[in-house]
Amino acid sequence: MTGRRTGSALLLGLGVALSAASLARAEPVTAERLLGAASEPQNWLLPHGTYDAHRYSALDRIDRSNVSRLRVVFSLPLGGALQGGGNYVAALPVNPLVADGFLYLVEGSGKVLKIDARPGATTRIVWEVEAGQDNLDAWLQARRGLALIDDKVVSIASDGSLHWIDANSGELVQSVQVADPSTGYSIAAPPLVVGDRIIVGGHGADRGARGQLDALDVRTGAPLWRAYAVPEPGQPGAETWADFADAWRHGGGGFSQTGAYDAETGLTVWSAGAPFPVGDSRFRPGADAFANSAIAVDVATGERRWSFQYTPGPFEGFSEAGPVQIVPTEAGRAVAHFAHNGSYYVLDLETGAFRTATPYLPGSTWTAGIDPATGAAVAAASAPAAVPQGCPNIRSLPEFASSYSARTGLSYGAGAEGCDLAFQPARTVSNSGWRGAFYAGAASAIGSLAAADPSTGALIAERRLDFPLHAGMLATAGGLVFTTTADGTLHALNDESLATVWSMPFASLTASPPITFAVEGEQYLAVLVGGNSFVGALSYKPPEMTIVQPLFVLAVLGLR
Amino acid sequence: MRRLSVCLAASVLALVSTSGTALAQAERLEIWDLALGMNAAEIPNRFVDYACGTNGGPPSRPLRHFSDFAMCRPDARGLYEVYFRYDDEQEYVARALEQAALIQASAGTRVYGFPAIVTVLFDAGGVLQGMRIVTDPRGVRPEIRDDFWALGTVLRHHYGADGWACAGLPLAEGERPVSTFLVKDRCTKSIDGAELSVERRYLQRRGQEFIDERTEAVVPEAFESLTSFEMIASGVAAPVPVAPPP
Repeated sequence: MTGRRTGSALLLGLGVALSAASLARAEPVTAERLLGAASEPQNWLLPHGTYDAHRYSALDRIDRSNVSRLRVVFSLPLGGALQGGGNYVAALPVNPLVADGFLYLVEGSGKVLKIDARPGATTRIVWEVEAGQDNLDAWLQARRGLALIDDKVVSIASDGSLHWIDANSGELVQSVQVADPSTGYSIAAPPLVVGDRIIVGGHGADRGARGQLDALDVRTGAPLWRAYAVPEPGQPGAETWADFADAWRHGGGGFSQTGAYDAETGLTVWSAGAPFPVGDSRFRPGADAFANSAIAVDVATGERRWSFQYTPGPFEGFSEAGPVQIVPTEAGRAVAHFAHNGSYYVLDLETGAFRTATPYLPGSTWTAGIDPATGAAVAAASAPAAVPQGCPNIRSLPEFASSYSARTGLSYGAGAEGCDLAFQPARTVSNSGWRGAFYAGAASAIGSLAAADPSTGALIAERRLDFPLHAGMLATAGGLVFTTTADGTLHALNDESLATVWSMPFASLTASPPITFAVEGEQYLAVLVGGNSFVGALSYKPPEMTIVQPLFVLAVLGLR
Repeated sequence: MRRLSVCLAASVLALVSTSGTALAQAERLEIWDLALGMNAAEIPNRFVDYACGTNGGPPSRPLRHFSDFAMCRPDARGLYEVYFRYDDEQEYVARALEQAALIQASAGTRVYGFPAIVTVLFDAGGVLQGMRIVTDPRGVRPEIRDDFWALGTVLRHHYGADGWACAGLPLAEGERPVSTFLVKDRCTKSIDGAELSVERRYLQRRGQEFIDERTEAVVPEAFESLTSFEMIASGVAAPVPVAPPP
């Protein structure tokens, strides 16, 4: 631990130095900088902070001793709380990116904004771009994400397009259509720039699209390769689609969270979501590979190197589209994932071989157990009718970003724990793709936090909070993990015990996890308050949550 | 397409009886358990709310069973359309038992998860000659109805993604994209023994605005989104065009 702290301090020093230099020279975000993103803790250059998707910052100026002095430094109201069609926007955890004192984010209407976060800035919004997304677009929910490369901001749009924006001027430079939205194709996950290419995860499973990864030239947008989650006949795994209606063509397995990347192996690992349609397995009896799976693809060629299916078939509506982490372990580097099925999985990075699966949700009944040798669900393939107890259940965990702390060596998962007893869509107007607010018994849903050791799989700490978590986690070298709960509270927790160190109430349910950055040596915390599709019609809104309103505000906190 | 509906009946019924999925799920008949060539009187009475159909619209005159089809008015092809719903007993039981997976699997009359109006068409001899699936907007919130057009894509895949002849349909006066997105097309395909057609729409018609000009309130339901599917046996004559009025 001491060594890690020393390393963090060194990184911070380096980072701050780089920050000052960057501010002066406005360095472009090169592929090399992205590779070394961990050495620039003052920035947040990638969707999950770094390629290993740790959502961890080496910044430690904000720590347990002073976190109570966090105050809102500035806030900025964002637009687009409600779309035509009745959708509340931004139900996905798309956090801002930060480069050299400037924040890049997407507001509810889909506009891309550049925000000047430097102290003393008199005008916060540098530019805003409305490309490929209109206010009140009923179908194209503002599920957007950003990537930085060179002097460009690359923005995805739900209609399956990518837009290159000049980071300095805000000028729209280029747009490219990745796939045809009339097939149901959409994009939800922020893209991942790796070297000379940008990797885009395709979504739209609830409209019959087949999950796909596309690599495009990061500068021209020219297509390089495409890989699908669900195999076609003749490919490995196709035998698990024992259907008669070509269900694999619209079988789901969409990608709604950005994957991780490992430069040493050249692999990018993404999580594919549930098979489609969730509640109708009649046309695809079988395990439905590789929906609900981790999929490792060679970044150079698009070749699938390995897959691992967490949950066979459409159990309980599980979707394993949540993020993966690439973590160091005593047995070598591994892929870790807090699964919707209630277990924390650790797989070998190079081969996908199963290592451990540890239940972090006591009493989960979806399977009789997990084979310790293979990771397969015991009896799962033959006993779906026996398991729909629905309780307990982690709700909507897939979209909740997990984190990993280099300081503690622990993975952190966040979710909303309750009972999946029944779906009652009439109780909410939130997005149909989100089931979190649909379930009966949700009034008693609570927040669920787990800290696990990827080397052993052991749960080191657990925490239940009064209200469910609907965003995700941020871990820092300051000995803290940050998260938010449905009542609109930002929590700073001890990264070893998960005990509350400090909390601050906001007025809305956040959808994206906090991030941290530094400018001129000062560490800040950025929270997108609101922008969550649940807010407008929370079916479980208890009296304590009556102040929760459909806001959408950027709040930047600093020490005072 | 390599699958003929008549053959489909046998294969589907076999699938139902041998499926690894929940038995309770298999017990409920769905439109996929019906097939061209079946006789109305021989279809098990395991659906509910039979009624005369209205070209994919809501039910009209109530019937006791498919075999009452002749009480309906035949269309121009001489076919009698009968509306029906899936038996909801399983859903009630599932809700009583709080069985989430079964609730989701058995909730309402759905096709690939989309609320749908399903009908079948019989000839005068009671032989099933066609079926229709039209997305059902009744009681559906706009953000669910939003995706109705996408059922058309899935249904095309259901009968094989290849071999469809698709064409965009002209916009009527006042029709326009919903913000950035427009779907209005029709695809047809011949399979062994049947003709298929799928029409999809996602648009705003004249007068449909998401912002009410007078009140400035958001009007979430101001759009059209639908899928309309029809399968007709190959031997059935095309409808006789109605002569224009003199």
